[in-house]
Order: sequence, then C-alpha cells, then structure tokens
Amino acid sequence: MTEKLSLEDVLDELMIEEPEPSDEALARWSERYPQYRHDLAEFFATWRVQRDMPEQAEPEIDEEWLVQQGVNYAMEILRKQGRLISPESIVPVAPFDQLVLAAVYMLHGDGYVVNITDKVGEMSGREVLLASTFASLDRLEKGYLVSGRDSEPETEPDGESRRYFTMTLTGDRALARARETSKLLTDFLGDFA
Amino acid sequence: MSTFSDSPGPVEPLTSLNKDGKPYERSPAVQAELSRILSLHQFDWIAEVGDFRNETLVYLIRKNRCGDPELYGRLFQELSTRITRIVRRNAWGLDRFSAQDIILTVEIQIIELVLAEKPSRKTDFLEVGFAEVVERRTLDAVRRHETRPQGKRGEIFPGATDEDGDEIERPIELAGDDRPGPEAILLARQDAALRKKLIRKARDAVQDPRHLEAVMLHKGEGLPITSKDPTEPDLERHFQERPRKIKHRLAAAMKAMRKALGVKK
Repeated sequence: MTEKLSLEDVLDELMIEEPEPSDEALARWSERYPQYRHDLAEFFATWRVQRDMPEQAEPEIDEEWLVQQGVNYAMEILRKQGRLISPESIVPVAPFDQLVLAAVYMLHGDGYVVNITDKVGEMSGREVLLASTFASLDRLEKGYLVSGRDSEPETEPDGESRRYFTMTLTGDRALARARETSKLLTDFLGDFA
Repeated sequence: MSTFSDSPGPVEPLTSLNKDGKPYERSPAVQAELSRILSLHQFDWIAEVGDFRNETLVYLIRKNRCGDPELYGRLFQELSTRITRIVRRNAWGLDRFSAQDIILTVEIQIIELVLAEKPSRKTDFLEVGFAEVVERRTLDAVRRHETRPQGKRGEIFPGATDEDGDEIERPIELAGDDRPGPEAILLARQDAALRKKLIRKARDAVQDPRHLEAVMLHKGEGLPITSKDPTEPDLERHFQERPRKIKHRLAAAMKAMRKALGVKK
C-alpha cells in the first residue's frame, strides 16, 4: 500500500483489526508503520492501562446533559450546512404531485414508477402517463419529499434495476397538510395522520 | 461543494483501502440492516432508531443530504447517547468532571466526522467499526488528559485543609502543574523545530529498525532488558532474543545516533 496514512488513521485501523493491546500486535504495527513507532508504543501503554485497570465503577456523569450538548452541536452544524428543512418552510404541493406522494406512501417502500402510476390512476379515476409520474417523482425527490433508491438488477423479475421510492418526514408533513384540503386524499388515505 | 447524493440510493461500497489494497467493507449485518431500512418511510426510522446498529446510524445521517429537524434530532440523540456510553466505559478511574470533559471532546469529534461534507478514511471507519473508533479517540483523550494539571484532580484529597485547619474551597489550585512557565514555553517554541530535526536525524541514522525499536522501548518506555517478573514486559521477551543480542542492538543504535548528532560518549 503506497498511501501515506496519518497517525490517527493508523490508530483507527489498528483498533478495528486488533482485539487486544498485545506485545505481538505492537511489534507488528511498529514494523508496519515505523515512523509512528513511538506514538504506537504510547498508545498501547494507555490502552493496556485502561484494559488492565481493576474493575471500578464507571464515572458518574450527567448523561442527559451530555447527550443534549451533542444534539445541539450537531443541529448547529446542520443549520450552517443548510441541511435542515423546517416544517414551516414546506411549500404546498401541486394536486398531481399530492396524488403521487400519496401513492408512494400507500405502497410502503415497494413503489416504483409503474405501480405508482397505476395507483395514481386508481385514485384519480383517469389514465395517467408514465412520463407524468416520472416528472412528478423527480420534483418530489428534488424537494426532499420522497427518497429514491436503485435496486440490484438480480433481485428484479426482469433483471433490470428499478428505482423504488419511500417518503421522507418532510414528505409526510406535506402530505398531511395536503390532506386537510383534499377530499380525494382524505378518502384514499383514511386514518393517515 | 458537497459530495452527498440527493437520496439514500443503493448502499455504495466504501472507498478507503485496507493494507491488502482492498476497500474496507461494512459488516454483512450492517449491509442487510441498511437494505431493509432504506425501504422504510422515514417516520418508521424514528420508531426503530433505538435498534439500529451504530454503523447504520452513521450511514443514514451521512447519506441524507437534507431533512426534517425532528428526524435529525432523533438520530443524533441516539448517536450521542451511544458515544457517551462507549466513552464512559473506557474512561475508568476518572472523576466526574474529567470524564464529562473527555466525553464531550470525543462526542464533538465524532459529530464533526459524521457531518463532514467530504468522505474520507476517517468517515469510512465510522461505518466499519464505530465503537472501536470511539474507543480509540477516548484512549487518546485520556492520554492527553493525564498530562494536564486537571488530570491530577484524583490526587487531591476531598476535604483537604490549609495550615489553619480551614477547608480549601478550590482544591484544584493545589494540583501540581507540570506545565512549563512562559519563558520555558518561548524557549520550547524556538527549540521545537530544531529538536524535531535532531530527533529525525538521530532516528534516520539507525539503519536496523529492530535496533531503533530496542532503543525506543528501553530509553523511551523504560522496558528493562530482562526482568525476573514474568508479568512485567521486557526486551528479552519482546524480541525473543538473548540479553546479549539486545545489548548489542542498544549499543549499535546509540552509537549511530551519537555519531549522527556529533556527540562524543
């Protein structure tokens, strides 16, 4: 392997591969990464101390507070990265897209363009073009209302990969809002919250 | 520019290579769990998140480019809880404040990695052995902690009193501070580059890596050449060689280092 690894990467790799901080393991890793020999020896020493320390009670901590700090920090990063879609920012979905969204919901993760089109036709009582469903799914996916995944071709009856759709939580909220104003959706979705 | 895809899609293979030049792989159990979960609506994830594997949680957070705050909040609550518990299990012998300090440090490191926009070897490792990576970072944090004055809090007796018999309000102030003073820091900074260069020069002078290892373990780690205590590590057992041979290694290494540095014995 020619890639030059940082000490952190080497230590991560070591932890994944070695179950115990044995002398034999230290010698092997020192030989593999002689430039980190000293750091490896130090790391093994700390590892051994923590492993061999007589059984003691785990330190007392305020777990709830620590977890909340972590969540707050993560949410702050997500906000800065522009990855959060607040429920208030969800724009109303066009009537045809509402039907497609409802079909995705009702097919429980088994929906792909053909059976979604069939379901939309069933709900609307009209013939629906595959191309219209394609375009709608594309819009919904770009708006993060549905999520698509490609299947492995070998798992499909015709040997060709399909793109299956599931609903995101944002899509779930959009559908709940659409249902408030659409009798058609209310009839088909029943108790959908 | 983000490298996230817009949707979960299929479970892509990891890209980092192991020592044999092959890509690292998620465990079959994680792969199977991911295949199942990706066919669920996201509101079902929230109901099941407590049962997800660690590596699955990491994957789901990394792969969703944008999402609902409630979903991310629940995923991160679970992830943070697991980080906290793994760190706690590996931070024996620390007082409450030190343990919390270390937990928070490791928690922040892992969260930053999980949310890193570009995949890397470090992010891949989180999907291969999450607990091991957290444990490794905990050990590093414990090692650093032990060299700080705060790390000596355990040496202070609770309820310590001063010379008048009054209880000391802030016993941390009695903790030994081994850190250098301002002058020493200045000198150390000036010397750091030169010292690094000399150490490298000395190390490079030793041609046989086993000679160098013997010196590092003996002079640096304090391992004796031989020990009567079978539980104590020594160089004889480490190298599986006679003491005479080890002495030769040490002498040869020291000679080469002194020569390289122009030091007379």
